[in-house]
Amino acid sequence: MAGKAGGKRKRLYTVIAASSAILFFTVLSFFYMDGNYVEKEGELLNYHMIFIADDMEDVFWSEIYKETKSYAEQSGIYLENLKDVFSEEYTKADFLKMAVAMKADGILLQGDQSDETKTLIDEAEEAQIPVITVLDDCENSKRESYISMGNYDIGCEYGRQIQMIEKEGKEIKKILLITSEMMDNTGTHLVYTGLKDVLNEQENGQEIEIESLNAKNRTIFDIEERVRQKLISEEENEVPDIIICMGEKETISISRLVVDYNKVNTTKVLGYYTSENVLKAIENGSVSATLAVSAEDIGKACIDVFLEYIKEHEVSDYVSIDVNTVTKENLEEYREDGKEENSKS
Amino acid sequence: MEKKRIQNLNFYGIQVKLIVVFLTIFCVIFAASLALYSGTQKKAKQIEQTYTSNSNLMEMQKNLKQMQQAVSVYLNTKDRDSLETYYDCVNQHERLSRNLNDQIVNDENLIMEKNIRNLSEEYLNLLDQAIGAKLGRNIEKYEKSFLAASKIYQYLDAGIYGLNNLQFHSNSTHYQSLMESLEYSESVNIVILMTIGITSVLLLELLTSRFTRPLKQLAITARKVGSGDLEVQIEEPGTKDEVGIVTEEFNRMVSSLRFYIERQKESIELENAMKKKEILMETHLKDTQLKYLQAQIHPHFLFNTLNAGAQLAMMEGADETYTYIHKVSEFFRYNIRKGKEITTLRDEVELVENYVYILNVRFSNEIRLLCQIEEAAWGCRIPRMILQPIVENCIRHGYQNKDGEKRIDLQAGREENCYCISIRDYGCGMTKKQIKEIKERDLQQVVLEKEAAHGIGLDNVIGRLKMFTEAEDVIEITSGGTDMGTEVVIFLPLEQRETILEGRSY
Repeated sequence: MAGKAGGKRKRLYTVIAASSAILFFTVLSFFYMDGNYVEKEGELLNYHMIFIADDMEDVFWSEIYKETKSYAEQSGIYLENLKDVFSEEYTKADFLKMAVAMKADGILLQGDQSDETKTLIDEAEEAQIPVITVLDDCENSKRESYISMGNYDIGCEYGRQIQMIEKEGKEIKKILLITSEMMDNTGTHLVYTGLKDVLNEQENGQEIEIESLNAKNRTIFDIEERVRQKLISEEENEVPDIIICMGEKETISISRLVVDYNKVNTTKVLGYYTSENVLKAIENGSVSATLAVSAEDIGKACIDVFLEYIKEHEVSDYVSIDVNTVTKENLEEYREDGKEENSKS
Repeated sequence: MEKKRIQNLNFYGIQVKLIVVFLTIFCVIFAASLALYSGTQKKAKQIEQTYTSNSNLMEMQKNLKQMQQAVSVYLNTKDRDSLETYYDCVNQHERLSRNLNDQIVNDENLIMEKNIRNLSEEYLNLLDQAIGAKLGRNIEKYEKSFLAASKIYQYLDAGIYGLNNLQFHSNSTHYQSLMESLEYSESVNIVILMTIGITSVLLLELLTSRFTRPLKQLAITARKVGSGDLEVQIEEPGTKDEVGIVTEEFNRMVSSLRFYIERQKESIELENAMKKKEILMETHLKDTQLKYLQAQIHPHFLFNTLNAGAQLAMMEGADETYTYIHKVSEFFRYNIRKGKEITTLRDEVELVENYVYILNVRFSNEIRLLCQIEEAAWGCRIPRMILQPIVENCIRHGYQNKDGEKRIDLQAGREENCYCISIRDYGCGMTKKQIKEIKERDLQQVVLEKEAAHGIGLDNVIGRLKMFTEAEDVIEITSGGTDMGTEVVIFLPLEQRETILEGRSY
């Protein structure tokens, strides 16, 4: 009898427990569903910076933006690329004006030597907005700091790579230096000087002719055409033994041109940046070496300089970034390092 | 404390309990439905508000355009209405921009809201400057300010457009998610309601079974009782509600019924036993009568013959013969008399006297009967043919081998509780063993043995007396031993149940 009553009580408790569980899960389910669809409030950050570069579609610059944004977030800074929102084609000057009107806390800018840029940088500085120029400087402006790899060092590195090629038995008489469209005359001059200084260290260094081709205000097709004419020139002196490309797009384009005209053995290409296409070109031998500039290093330097400015209100006028060289020999090692870093991040 | 509470709960009636059960289930279902309803309502509201931010932005864009035009008109024409429109637009803009984020948040849309808010502040500032310069007639300054404001207006317009696109994209995703969520919640609602419904039914079944189970049990038990099984007993539910009371009373009723039936059974059994006894006695008497009937041919014949003989003797003047024949005739008539089975002591004594007379004629007055009957005892009621067999036994067994006078004392008197009738002989007497054998003889056995017996034996007499008095110690046989004679004493009750005895044969 007691067992019967106990069994009944057990059943009653089971049903009550089941009902409670259902009610609990109903409420929980609603909270869960609500939680899923409530607009997520973003994390509050300390500073708002604006990133302005001439060509954000360029792999190199977009990589720099990505790395800088990532590091900025870790440091409590929101880095914004206005081109993501403003659909119309606005100039660098427009974005600078917007950044000032938006009362940003700082501006990362790919500088240039134009007066308008200089004026706008000065206006921003007057509005207490620090401007840091990246890779390309705006001399004589009131910008707080300039972050770059050091064009002279780049020139020296290219010089050392040419010496290596020479040691392999190739006679070098002519070098074609295609500077980046973003590089100003000063930058080009520094690269040239560095290159010349290294080449002059050897016996026939004075005899090597260096011709420079500035990509600024030229389309890639234009540059390709100029190079193509030199490659197919019947005059021996016209065909360059080494072509130095100081832009990612130029590197890819010229390396393909050399392959197309079957000049891989006669004309060596030295590239710039380490995008996947450039690394593939090194792998198949169409590019002898490339300069590896770490976008992450640039990003870190930018944010560190900004934070230092916020803290101290004074920063170094120039911050240098180290440059590495990637050749066929150390390509695998470079790729492995890249994978490790990616997995760490 | 808990027990007491439960006891209190048990005391409530079924109606209260049912109300509590239904209220509980109603509350559960109501709460669940309310939760589901509010959840769905919330989602519907969210869906409704999905594109609110877009419409706000569009309104802001429209307002800014109106503001730009108004200022432009005012600066060119100094039109008052335009200025008022401008101020209205400023108020409107301030109201709309209050919804925009002003924090640095790690979210593309919210940062853009902050940008638009700051841009619009700068824009309004520049417009104020332009209007102020216009009022101050500073043409150069108002043109410069308006130019700068126009530029910012372009940025603002483009920014709002961009943010609108971004928000539209995210709102569409949000809308899609909400719609999916709503569809999902609809399915979940159905499942939950079904589950709650099933659980409620189970709960209802469980809770109501507490009341209905005793009722069902009661019905089953009542059916059993109806079919005659009174040994059933219902387990009491332990509650003090109507069912508890009914169950308790039912058990009591069954118990009472069982008791009364038991008593009735006992009564019937007693009656049966009495009937059986009656049948047995009847058989006994019939047996006795049979014996006489067997001899009735002779008594009847003899009776008629003797009557004829008596008349002849009278006619011839033989008085002695007449008396003898008449006594013999009387003796037989008494024996064959029917209907009246109970007689008085007087008749019995008369019969004994007739019998002794007859025997004395036969045995030359050897038998001497001395009757001492108290007056009060004459009317004593007694079954027929009781004394004569005893007297016969005295003569046949007591004086079997004795010559000379055969004295028999017949005494009757009233004692305190009964009538005592004593028949005493002075013959050979009886041993104690013989007396014991007679006393212990079974009435049934006595009847069976009659087949072989001649005459009415003492056993027959004892048996009939026991049946008549319904007492065991109705007769006492005493003897002083060999040649010391025997005394048979009969005890008859003073109050004889005439009504019961009436018409019965003993």
